[in-house]
Amino acid sequence: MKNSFLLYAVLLATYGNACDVCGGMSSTASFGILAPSRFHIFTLKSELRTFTSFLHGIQHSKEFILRSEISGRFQLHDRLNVFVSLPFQSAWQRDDFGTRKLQGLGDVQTVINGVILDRRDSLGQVFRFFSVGGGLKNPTGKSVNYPDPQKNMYPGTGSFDLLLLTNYIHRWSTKWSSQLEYSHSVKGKDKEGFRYGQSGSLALHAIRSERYRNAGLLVLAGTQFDWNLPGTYHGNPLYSTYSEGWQLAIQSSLNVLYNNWMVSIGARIPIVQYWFAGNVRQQPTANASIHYLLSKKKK
Amino acid sequence: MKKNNSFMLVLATFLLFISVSCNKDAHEQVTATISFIEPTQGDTVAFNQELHAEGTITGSSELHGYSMSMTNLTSNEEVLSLSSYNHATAYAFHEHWVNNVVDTAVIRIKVHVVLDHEGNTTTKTIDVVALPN
Repeated sequence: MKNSFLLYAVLLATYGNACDVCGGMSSTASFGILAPSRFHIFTLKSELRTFTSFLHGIQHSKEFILRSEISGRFQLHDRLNVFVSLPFQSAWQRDDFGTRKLQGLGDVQTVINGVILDRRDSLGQVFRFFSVGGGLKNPTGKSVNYPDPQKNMYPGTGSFDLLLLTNYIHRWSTKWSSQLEYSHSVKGKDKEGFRYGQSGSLALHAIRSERYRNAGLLVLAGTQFDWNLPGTYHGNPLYSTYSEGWQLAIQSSLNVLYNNWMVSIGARIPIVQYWFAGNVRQQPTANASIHYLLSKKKK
Repeated sequence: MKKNNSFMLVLATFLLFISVSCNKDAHEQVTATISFIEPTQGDTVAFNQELHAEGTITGSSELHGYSMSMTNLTSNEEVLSLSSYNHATAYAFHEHWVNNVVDTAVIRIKVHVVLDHEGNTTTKTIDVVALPN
């Protein structure tokens, strides 16, 4: 019963960090399907992204970015929670002359999330859920100034960014539901007057939930559209540089819930994309995470 | 006897074909075009600014690697030296050196391409002027 309750309460967990095509410029957050959970949630997650970069039409380098994150989501109230995350990033760039490595702490994110609509049955199953969150990404991470060519590989952006997250979940039947999530980020200026462009991410997923004995199995599949506007330097737009572009990807994840633990693995595959005027191509991305769910009320 | 003649004809044709193929390979000289997008000959680089060397190498066939160096011709000091043994038909390079000279100096950027394993190479150089503080 406890697992059943957890399963329905959690509904599902996945994450697809939005608009994070290049290292530290990632500054949007995602609660994924853990959004309707009323538990405190502690998470360890890692995501490996790879890119191929071109110069004058010739492949120049490959980039590998491994981003790990420890985060906590604390329920202040049934309809209010606070999310804090601390990322650590390692990035490698391999070109003809060797491999460069950059690593360090990333930018700390804090998001306050409010639940606007939360309809459940007596077992805690979510039928309709809508939440809105707002937050701040703080320039605590390692970063360099524009126009350093490695700027996008650093774990931090050097700026305060504003975050907006919305999440809508609709349950169609006992086993099927869908989720629509939008996140948006407005980037601040760094010390040198450089500002990344605003970014957004829209994700639509179908969710299938199953139970096997005491474990819950949740499978997610869907699509995600990410976009970034061009950055500016002292107010002047920098077209075709610094992460401008868009991408449509399909993604899927498998999530297993047992007792208070949930383990997730997932992948995202770009279908069409246009980053840096076609000079950067993102390759399939893999991620894994482990979550510990702690009831906010101990009786 | 007629069978033997036919066999000899087929063998001769085959050997001729192999011979022509080998000769063709042996005489097909690989070439490469080295193009600098930046800098151009005679550019000046201010103190503490980056000398930005960017360009492409395009081969007529597979190339066997390349190297790039930057040498201070005034002091005869090599300030940057990089080598690649990657096999490819084209390369794109993009390297930097921060000007830290104490006296006005000529910096020679040299790109050296290995065309084959027989020791054939091609080279392109560009000279720029580095200014002191």
